[in-house]
Amino acid sequence: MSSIECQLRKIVADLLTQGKVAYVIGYENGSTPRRARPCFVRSPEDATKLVWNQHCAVNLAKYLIGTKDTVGIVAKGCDGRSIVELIKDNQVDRSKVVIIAPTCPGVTQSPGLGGEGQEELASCCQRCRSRDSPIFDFQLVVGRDAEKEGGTVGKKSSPPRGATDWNSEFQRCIKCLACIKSCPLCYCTECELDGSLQSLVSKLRIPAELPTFHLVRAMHMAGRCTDCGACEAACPVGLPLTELYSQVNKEVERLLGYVPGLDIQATPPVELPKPKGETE
Amino acid sequence: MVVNPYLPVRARIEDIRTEIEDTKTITVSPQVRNAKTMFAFEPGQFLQVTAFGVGEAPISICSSPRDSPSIQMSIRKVGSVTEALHEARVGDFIGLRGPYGNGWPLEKLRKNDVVLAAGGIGMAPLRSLMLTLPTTKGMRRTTLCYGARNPSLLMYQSEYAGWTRAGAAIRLTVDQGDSDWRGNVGVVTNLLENLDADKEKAVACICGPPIMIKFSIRKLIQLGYRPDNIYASLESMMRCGIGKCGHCHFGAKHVCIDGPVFSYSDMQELPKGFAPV
Amino acid sequence: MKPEYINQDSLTRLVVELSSRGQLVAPVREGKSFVFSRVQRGEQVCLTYTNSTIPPKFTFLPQIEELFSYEVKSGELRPPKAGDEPVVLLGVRPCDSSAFSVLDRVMGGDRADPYYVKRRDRTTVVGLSCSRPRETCFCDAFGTGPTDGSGDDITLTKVSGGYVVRSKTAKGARFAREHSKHFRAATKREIDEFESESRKIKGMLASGITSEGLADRMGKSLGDPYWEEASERCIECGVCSFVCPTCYCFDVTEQVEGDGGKRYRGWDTCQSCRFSRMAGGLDPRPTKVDRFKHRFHHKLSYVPMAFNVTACVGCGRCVSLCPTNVDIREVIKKW
Repeated sequence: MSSIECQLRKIVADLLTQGKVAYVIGYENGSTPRRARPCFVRSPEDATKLVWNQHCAVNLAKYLIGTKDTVGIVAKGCDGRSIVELIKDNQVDRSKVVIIAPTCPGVTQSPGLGGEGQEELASCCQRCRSRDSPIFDFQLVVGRDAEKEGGTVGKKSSPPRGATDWNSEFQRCIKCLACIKSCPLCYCTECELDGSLQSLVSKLRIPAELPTFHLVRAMHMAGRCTDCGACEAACPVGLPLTELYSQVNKEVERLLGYVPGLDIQATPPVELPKPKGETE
Repeated sequence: MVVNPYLPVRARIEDIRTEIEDTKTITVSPQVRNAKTMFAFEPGQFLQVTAFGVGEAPISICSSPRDSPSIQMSIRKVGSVTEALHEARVGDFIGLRGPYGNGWPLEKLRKNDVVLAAGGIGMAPLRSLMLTLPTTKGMRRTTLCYGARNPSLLMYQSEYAGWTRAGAAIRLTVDQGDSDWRGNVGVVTNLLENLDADKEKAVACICGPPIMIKFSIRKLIQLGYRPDNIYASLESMMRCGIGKCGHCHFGAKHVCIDGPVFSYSDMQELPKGFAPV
Repeated sequence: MKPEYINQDSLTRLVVELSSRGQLVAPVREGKSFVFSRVQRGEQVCLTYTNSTIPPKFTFLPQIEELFSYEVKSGELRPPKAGDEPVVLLGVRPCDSSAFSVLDRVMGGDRADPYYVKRRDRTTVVGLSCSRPRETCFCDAFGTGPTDGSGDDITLTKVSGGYVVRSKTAKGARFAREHSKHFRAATKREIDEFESESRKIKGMLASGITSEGLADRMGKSLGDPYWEEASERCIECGVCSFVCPTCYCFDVTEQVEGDGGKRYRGWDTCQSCRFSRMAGGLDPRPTKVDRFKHRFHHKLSYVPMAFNVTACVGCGRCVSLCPTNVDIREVIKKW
């Protein structure tokens, strides 16, 4: 058991004993080998369930949306950046979240149904420039040996693929909407892409509409996506979604100098209207 | 060659009248030669109605089976399909599939005292029953208890005199009266007391908003009516109408096949959360 | 019918023959996973796969299909063109094949679904016994594998040098006759090997899960607080429904193009917040817990009650592919 795990469990047990949070959102061992999954710890004794390793892939920030209580959350770099953007979008109250930020070794590619071979570092982790969360209440660092903490990282995959045939990729999509559901920045109750009355596309998988779906989603990720890879991990057919969204955000960075989630003070390029009564 | 139950039959809109605010009654005639057999229905059944170019919605039939193949439906504007139906004109075509569902328990209703409890638009499938019952031989006593938010929202008012002449006792109530209203004010459940009916054997048929159904059932049980003689027409999201799409599947039952009419005893077997009990 | 045998080379030749006629749907590799696909070149077929991501149910229940088209103004209908060409669905695992039997119950009956029935009738299902289970397989819980699927017309089981072949239905026997040049009677040695292989694979599946009395116990579990905790990590993405071989719920929509319109139906998920919500806003399953409970009750209790068959075949896809690792085996074991 790594010392980050020890620190994590102690901090969580203390927070719960002191009644500072209603519960803590973290990771526990999954039901199959080489998997970790979200868990909700409510009592100090249960803190021993918590793990911290390269399988902790799910972006837990998703579970902050709609919570009324003060909660604790384990946040990797990308998850922390999601929380920053959610705070800017008035979806999360900073004063009601206790962020525990362990140094992240990168997470491995989702095993899926076919991937029983060697573990690979997820594509977004290969690109990641800041594995530590930009905001935190507790930072769990174990020196620059952080890469070795939490077990082997897994080999980096082969160099980035060449030009992706997006038309073919989009046609593989089964419109399950897992990408939307797994994304913490997708919190709209009536989505533009899920077949509701306001929707630009049907709920069903009409082939001619698939590029529209993906391109509109990519535009909605501009200035907001923190490259956490949750969408790609959730996608049952393995669409290279983060490749698309990260390209969009490269442009946002180049043109507007904005990187989603890095700086809580920075004004996002797409601003939501402020609630009535609030002034600039 | 298997018959294709997914293909709607075209029906011509023969008449449209505004019933109450947001609700229109349309009369349609299916454009097939054997319409009378194909669309033979029982009171309480519904049709899957297509507004071409928009979609399909389940709508109760509110006319008498005797008028078949002409069919009437009272449609409240609540969504995109019903909105499109409201914009239709006489001579336009809609699509019909059905009739689906199980209808009110006519066998029992023919032999015993009848209590009908309606709330708002819930009167529509009960009108179909009302138009069927009084002329059925062997009928005993029929009472209609009908409530709406205010007097202008009571449907089919021009027909009440006819129903009374045919032998039904009618009790009306509103949540809020107006300057002309001389009748009852209050909930429909109040009207269920002291009716002319043998509570041991009488059959009750209820249709209206879930909360009205819930309290009507409660009141009837309190008054001594039997759970397997109390029926309500329940609503559900539907898509296919034939028990295939899964949207109306609750417990062992499909609302489109085993319902929409369920007895209170049946409702108690269904998973909690569906029936308003 | 006596068991037959086909050697590897003959099977390869048969596969090439079927694919050149445009009749073959079989598993092919796609990146790290496998997908059932209409095969153009016989060599693409991979029968050493464990299972595909998307189950072969789409052969009978396509992801999306046109129910009919029409002229908007007059409502003049045009039923879709019939697809009559025979299809050979090769390499279906017993769990997926047994799922076909579940779908047959739902889609058949009094008001049979003509689109499903037509596709089912023109397809010959060539099942393939498993030789190594995945960690997430639990077909032993429902008797849906690992050697024979109840939806098979003909079953292949790997032995040395080829496969033992057993016809299960008249359609399967017809298939064997049509392609008899590739088959011969199985020898005693081959039959013995088939029996020992079958015993071996059955021994490998020890999920410890039993479905005896499950429908009843599930039915009584609705009010239990267990469901709040079990559903907490679920993100309502619906991947489980899409990769499940027995999920059949569909949604219907219309699309207008100029003067004409089309009505489509396609896969839907009860995990969607709009699955049971009515036009006026009322919803018998308004929360995540309600919908989560419904999935398991529908599969393990309601479908058994309504159709006399369990709507889970133990394929384990939902276990592997759920982004938050919700595990149906844990739910079943609990009850």
